[in-house]
Amino acid sequence: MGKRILLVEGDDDRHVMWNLCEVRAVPEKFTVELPEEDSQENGGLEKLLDSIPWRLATSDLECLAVVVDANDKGPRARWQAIRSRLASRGHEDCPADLPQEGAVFDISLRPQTPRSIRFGVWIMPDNQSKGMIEDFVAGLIREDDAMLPLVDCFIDSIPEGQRRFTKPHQPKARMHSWLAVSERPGRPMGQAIKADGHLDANSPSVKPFLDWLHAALVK
Amino acid sequence: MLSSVEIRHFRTFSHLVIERLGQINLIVGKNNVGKTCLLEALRLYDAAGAPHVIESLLLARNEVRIDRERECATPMLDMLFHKSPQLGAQSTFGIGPYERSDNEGEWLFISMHDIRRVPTDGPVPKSGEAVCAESISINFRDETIGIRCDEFLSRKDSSRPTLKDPPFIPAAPLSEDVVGRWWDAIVLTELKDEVIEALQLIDPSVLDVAFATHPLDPYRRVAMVRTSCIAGPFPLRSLGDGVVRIFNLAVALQYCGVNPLLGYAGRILLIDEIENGIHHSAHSTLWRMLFGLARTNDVQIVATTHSLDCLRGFAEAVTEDDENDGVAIRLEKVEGEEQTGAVIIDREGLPIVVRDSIEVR
Repeated sequence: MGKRILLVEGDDDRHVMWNLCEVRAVPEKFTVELPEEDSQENGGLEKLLDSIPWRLATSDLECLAVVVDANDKGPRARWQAIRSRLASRGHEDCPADLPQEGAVFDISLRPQTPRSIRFGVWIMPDNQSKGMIEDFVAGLIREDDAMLPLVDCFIDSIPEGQRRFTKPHQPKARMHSWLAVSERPGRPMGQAIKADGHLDANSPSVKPFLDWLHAALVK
Repeated sequence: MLSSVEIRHFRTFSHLVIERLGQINLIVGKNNVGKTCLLEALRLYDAAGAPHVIESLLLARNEVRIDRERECATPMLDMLFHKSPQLGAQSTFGIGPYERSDNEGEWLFISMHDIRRVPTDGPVPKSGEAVCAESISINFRDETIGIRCDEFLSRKDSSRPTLKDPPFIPAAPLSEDVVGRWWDAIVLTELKDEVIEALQLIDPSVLDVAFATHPLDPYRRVAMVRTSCIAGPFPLRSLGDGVVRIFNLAVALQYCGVNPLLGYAGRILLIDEIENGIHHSAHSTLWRMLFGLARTNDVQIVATTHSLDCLRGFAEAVTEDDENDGVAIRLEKVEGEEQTGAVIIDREGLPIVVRDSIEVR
């Protein structure tokens, strides 16, 4: 079997994937990789997108899947960015629109080499909304959670002029505030998924993502 | 300069397309994928299929057999032709620029004629063995020459190198006689000084190099060096394999540049397992030197490597100077496919591959 790689934006995202896969018993058929450390901070997403056509050149690669945040530009813009990066290197296999259930399709490496790579794209949180992986993880918080309404009140109560985070980063501020008031304050998202507590990895909201992951990297 | 290459039915290649070649090309890929075969094909192409180059390719792989009928040694010419299990040996192979196969004049075609099984007595040979060609024909630029199989090893001039031979640096240590011949073409010119400067990048104590008669064999020559550390000249080889390798590379490059007769496809220097003898910390320096000399001499380099340090050093040299036109090419076999893949990582991709530690070997 060839290499199967899941490419994510940063270390937090990687831990979310590792722990989610562990809890949901996703077969360990792929590795989760990141862009180089320096590039995660500064323009990391652009660098990750630029690297996609060259990741396809990985030796023995069989499947490559990418999980990126939609952020405030939205999933359409992100999808177009990926399409244009691929097209710039002659890969025209990308469908025009990102399917709601995430994209999985084959990229032909011909004429250079007579094989294809199974390629998957998931744009956090759900391929349809603006937002990021923190929104996806927030979707795992149990409905009866007592802290989340308080955290939302707190975030809302911060006067506009005193907010240190930008509007697009609000989901991050919200999720990390929520984590800050858990049994183990400061626990990262990934660990919180595995801890038997207030995040429900069996939530129905996870199913579409796991289905995509399965189609892109496990099947 | 060759900007692309396509190979059909040569040795391990049923079909190979390299869409783009740069000034310096670093070939990577697993064992047995055909890296050295590619160098052989380019060597043959650049020499327009010269019989003595065919012979030297075969001898380098010990591909000679005893012809019992004629009671003489004959080259195993059939080894040059790609074999597919169903069809037996292909009887023609071709090497030329990609997407120019309509322009047959630019392609080199070599064909075998009158293939027959040799032994009339003795055991029946296994398939693929003991196929002997009565003759081969070599077609290039609308000229065809034919050579009988038994003419090969008996031709007196057959193994003699000519000025048109592309310099080839094998993985194994190179004979000092060969390097000495290249050296003779650049000694007493400023090109020699540039070779000394190249050596100083690796060992700053080097002051000068000369070839002298071997103390035990008057027909052999030895490269001698003078350094600022030790009084009197001593053999260059005493400085270690790395220095000898760099010396050979620098001399070969200068020789390519100075020789107006070289090559039908331009000036090409072919290097097998370029990393041999080179310490991992010296790869960037080596590549900077090679890019510099290749540019000034207008020489195209095709080198192979297994070394990650070598690939990284190459990528660094490409990244740091826009004028360095370097391409990494991974050859790969794909199960169930006749075509050998050639995945290209050009100067746009190399910095990203290094930055993100993408394994492309």
